[in-house]
Amino acid sequence: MAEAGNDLKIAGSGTVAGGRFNRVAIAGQGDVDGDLDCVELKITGCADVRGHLVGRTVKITGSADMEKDVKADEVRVMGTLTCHGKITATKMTVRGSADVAGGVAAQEIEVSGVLTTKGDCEAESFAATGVVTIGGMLNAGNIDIKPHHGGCRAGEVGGEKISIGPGAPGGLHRILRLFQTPARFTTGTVEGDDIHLEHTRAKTVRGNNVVIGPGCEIELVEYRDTFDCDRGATVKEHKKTSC
Amino acid sequence: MEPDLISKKDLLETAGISYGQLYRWKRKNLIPEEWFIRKSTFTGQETFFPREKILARIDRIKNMKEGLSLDDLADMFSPSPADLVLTKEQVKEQNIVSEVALDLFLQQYPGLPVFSFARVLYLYVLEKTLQSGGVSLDEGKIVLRLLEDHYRAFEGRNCELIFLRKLGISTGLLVASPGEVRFEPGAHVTARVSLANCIEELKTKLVKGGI
Repeated sequence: MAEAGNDLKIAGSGTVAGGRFNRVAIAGQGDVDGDLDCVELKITGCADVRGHLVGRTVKITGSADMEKDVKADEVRVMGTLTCHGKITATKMTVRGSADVAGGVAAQEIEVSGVLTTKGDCEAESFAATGVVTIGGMLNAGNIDIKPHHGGCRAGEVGGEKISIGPGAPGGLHRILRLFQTPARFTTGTVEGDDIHLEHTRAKTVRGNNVVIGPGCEIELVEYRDTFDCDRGATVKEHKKTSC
Repeated sequence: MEPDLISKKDLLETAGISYGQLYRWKRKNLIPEEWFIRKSTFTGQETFFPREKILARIDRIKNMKEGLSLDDLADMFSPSPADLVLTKEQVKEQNIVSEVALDLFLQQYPGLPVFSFARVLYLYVLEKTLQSGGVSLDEGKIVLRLLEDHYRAFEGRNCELIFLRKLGISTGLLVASPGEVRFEPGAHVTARVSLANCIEELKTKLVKGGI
């Protein structure tokens, strides 16, 4: 992250080789052919970055295609981002749509749009009200997912505090909801300390304190301390274990 | 099931930790990804761990997390070298290596004013192989040369040093780990050292020594 450096602006259509910059703004159609190292990157147009991207803040309101890994303090996606590598950030916010092939690792991940990854997702705090599809494992200290219609899925979920609940849209949505089934969360295994699930389909749930709410379909629950199951949930088998 | 693996459930019970702790440590890279071994069992997919390694690691995390932050611990367990430089005197004081190994090292690199972490590591590996008796003083030079020339290629990954002897001829190799190597029956593996273990031991010694 070079402090000293020139600014780069692509307003029409342009190609740069890459390099170190202070501020980079791409408003038209911009291609970066190599590695890009900058303090601030703003993409309001359409951009292809073919090298690695290192930056302090990366803001995408347009559309961006990144071929390699992205490392930044803050990544905000309001438009569309396709990343073929891995994203490492302190904070990642997705309000638009982000498809990250290599997975995401951040302190904080907030999704109100669409986040798709084939890899794993790691964070201290993971909050989603949008649509999340994680091929690998979702591992976070605090997980709070309120799936939007369409449903969310993850290969596995692990963490300390895990809460998966129904999305809570007010007004018109509430009336519309009478005619549609609530959004589901589908996963293989959920493992954590305190687990609260609603409208979730999972094979196995393991934790210290487990609360299974309405609309859940769980094959096996293993709990250490407490277990509570709503009448509107289906749990095939539950047992208390010593761990 | 292989006896040297432990299931996740048994691990939590034996070590007395919760799922949350295990996942947090994994996130902080205190437990390497390759130790999570997924296997299909009759209850579905289960995760297993190499028993001795994981129990030892958890024991150390639990003992050391009082004094050090999780990030410091992660640095210690990481297979990447630390950023530090020692002087010859410091290396001596720390009692990391014997005189013999240090002398041999200095013979190879006369006039080296300071030791980077990588160099200290090479020295430590040399010491270990010499101590094990599998490598003679003369062969120690081969070990040093090998590390000096090729260890950098394994940056951030674990690798193993294997020393072989056959019909009185000796040679050494660096192999990425986890990986598998097979030897023909006439060859004797005289020393085999995991570099990640060495880094961890070395970092622990340096931390204890106040560096």
